Amino acid sequence: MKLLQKTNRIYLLFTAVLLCTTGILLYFIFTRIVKSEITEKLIINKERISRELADGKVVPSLPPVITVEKLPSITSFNLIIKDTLIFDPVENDTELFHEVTSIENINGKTYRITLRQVILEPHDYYNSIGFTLLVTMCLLLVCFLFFNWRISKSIWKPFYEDLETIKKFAVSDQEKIVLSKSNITEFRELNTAVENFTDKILSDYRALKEFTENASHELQTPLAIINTKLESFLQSEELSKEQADQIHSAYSAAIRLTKLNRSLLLLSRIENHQFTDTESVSLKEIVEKQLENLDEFIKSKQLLVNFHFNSDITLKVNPFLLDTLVSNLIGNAIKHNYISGNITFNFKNNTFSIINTGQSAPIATDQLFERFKKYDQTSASPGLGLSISKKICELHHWSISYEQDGELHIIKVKF
Amino acid sequence: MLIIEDEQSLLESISHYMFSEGYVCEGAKTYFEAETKLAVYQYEIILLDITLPGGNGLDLINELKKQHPETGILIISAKNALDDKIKGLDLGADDYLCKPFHLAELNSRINAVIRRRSFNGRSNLIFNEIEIDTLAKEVMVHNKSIKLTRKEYDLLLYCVVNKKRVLTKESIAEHLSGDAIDMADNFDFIYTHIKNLRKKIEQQGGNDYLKTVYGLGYKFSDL
Repeated sequence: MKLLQKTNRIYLLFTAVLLCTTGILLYFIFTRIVKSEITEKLIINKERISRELADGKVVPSLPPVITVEKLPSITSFNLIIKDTLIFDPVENDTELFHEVTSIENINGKTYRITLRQVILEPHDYYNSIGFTLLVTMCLLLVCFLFFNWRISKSIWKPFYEDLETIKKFAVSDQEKIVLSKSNITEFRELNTAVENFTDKILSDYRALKEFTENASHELQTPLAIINTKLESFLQSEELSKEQADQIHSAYSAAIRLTKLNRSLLLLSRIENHQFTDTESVSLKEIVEKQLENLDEFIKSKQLLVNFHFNSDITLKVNPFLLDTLVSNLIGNAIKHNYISGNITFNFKNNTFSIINTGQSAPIATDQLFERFKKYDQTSASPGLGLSISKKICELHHWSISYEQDGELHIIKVKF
Repeated sequence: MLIIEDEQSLLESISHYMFSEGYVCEGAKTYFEAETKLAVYQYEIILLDITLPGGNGLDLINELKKQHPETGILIISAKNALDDKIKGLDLGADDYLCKPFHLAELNSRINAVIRRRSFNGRSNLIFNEIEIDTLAKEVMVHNKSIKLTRKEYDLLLYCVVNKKRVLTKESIAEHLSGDAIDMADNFDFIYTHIKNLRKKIEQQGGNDYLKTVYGLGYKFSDL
C-alpha cells in the first residue's frame, strides 16, 4: 500500500468517526432544541387561551391541535407535558405530537386546555442528518483522491524517479549513483544517505577487488620460488623413491596453487575491466581454433564431434576473453564426457550451444556457475572455469545458461 | 647471462639451473645494479623481471636496445598482464614468461631465443643419433628424416634441450598444452605423445633415451 493511500485511509477513517459523532450530537441537540422551543410556544399559546377564557371569550376547540374542555369538578391543578401518538384524520395517519395539558381554574371554573404540535419523528432526523453527512463524506473522498493524484504527480515524482535509479544500481557497473535534488527535507536526507552509502559500497568493492588482484600478484613470486626450488630438488641424483614422492606431491600441490592463483587473477582482472582492447572476431573461427587446440584431448577420449554452424557471428570483443570462454566450455564438455561420447556444437538464432554427453551432474544447476563448485570435489581443478565463463558473458551482456536432459548437458550462450 | 630479479631465492634457483646448463650467470637485484652491469658488460641473453626496486624493467629494454641490440631479452614477470606482455614484446623483448614457471620451460625458452639470435634460427641440435633442425622443424634419426606431429616435435625438442634433467609430467603437460592449461590436469595425453614419439624414433633404429623416473616424470639421457 502506498504511503499516500495509507495516510488517506487513516484520515478518511478518522473523518468518518468524527462525522458519526457529529451526527449523533446533532441529533440530540436538534431534538432538545426543537422540543423546548415547541414546549415554550405551546405554553405561550396556552397562556393566550387562558387569558381569552379569563376575558370570558369562547375559545373554539380545534382537535387535535387545540382542545378546551370544561371539567365538572375541581381537581388538582397541574401542567402535563408529554409526547403522544394520535390519529390525525386530516393527514389520515398516526402522527407524533408534543402535547401540553393544563388543568387550571379560570374565573371559578375548571378548564382543561390541551395544545398539541406535530413534531419530527426520530427517523426524520436520522435521515436528514445521515444524508448530509454522507454527501460531505463523498465530497471529502473525491477531494482526497484528487489531491492524491496531484501530489503523487508533483511531489512524489522525483521520489519515484530516484527509486528507479536505485533499483538499476549494480555494484559491478562501478558507476556512482546520482539522485535528484529535492527541496523536501525527508527526500533530500534520504537521497544523501543513499548516495553516501552507495559511494561507500563502490569504494569497498573496488578495494576488495584490488585486494584480490594484488594478493594474487604478490603470490606469484613466492609460488615461483617454491616451484623452482622443488623442481631443482627433484633433479638431485641421491633422492630415494620415498623422498622423490614426497617432494613430488608438494610440487603438484604448488602447481595446483599456481593454477588456482592464475584463475583468480584472471577472474579479478575481468571484473576490473582490464580487457578493454577489442577486435572483430568470428565465433566460428575461434571455435575451430580451440577445437584444434584441444584435439588431442578429444581424440584421447575418442569423442565424436558434430559441428553445425549454419551461420556465423562477428563479435567485437577482446580475443583473449573469447578464446578463454570457448576453450573453457569445450574443455568442460571434454572433461565431463565419457569415452566414445559426443559433443555437438550448434549456432543458430544468435545462440551458441554446446551439447555433450556425460554423467548426470551432482551440482544443482543454479550453483554451477558459482566459484569453487566442481563436478568432482576431489578433482584438482579449482572449479573456477564456469565462473570465469560467466563473468566473461556478464561483461559482454551475453546470457549463459545450463540445462541437463538425461545424459545430455547443454550450455547455451546467447549473444 | 644476466638475471635481473629482485627475489634472492628465485635468482639463486635460476642461476643454479642455468649454470648447470653451461651458462655463465650474473645476477642483478635492483634497477640500478642492472643498469650498471648492462653499461659495463655485454651479455648474450638477459632475463628481466619487470617489477624492480628502483624502476620499471621495461625501461631497461630501451636502454639495452640502443647499446647492445644483439642481446636476447626474456621477460619474466609476476604480472600476468597482457598489456605488459605486448608492450615488452613491442619494445624488442624476445619472449615473455609469467611467474611462476617451470625451470625446464625457462631453459627451453632461453634456448629458443639464443638459437634465433645467434644462428639466425639455423642451428641443429644434435643428441647422439638424433638431429633436430629447428628452422625446418625436422627431425633426423641416423640421418633419416622421421615425420612427427607438432606436439611430438615440441616434446622431443623440450626433452633434448632439457636433457639429463628430470622433467615433471606437470611441466611437460603445460609445455605441450599451451593455452589449454586447464586441461593439463589430465596427463593421459602425454603418454600418448611419448608412446608415439618412442615408436617413431625406434622405427628408424634410434635408441629410447626417454626414461620414466619414479612417478615423477621423464628424463632424457644417454643410456
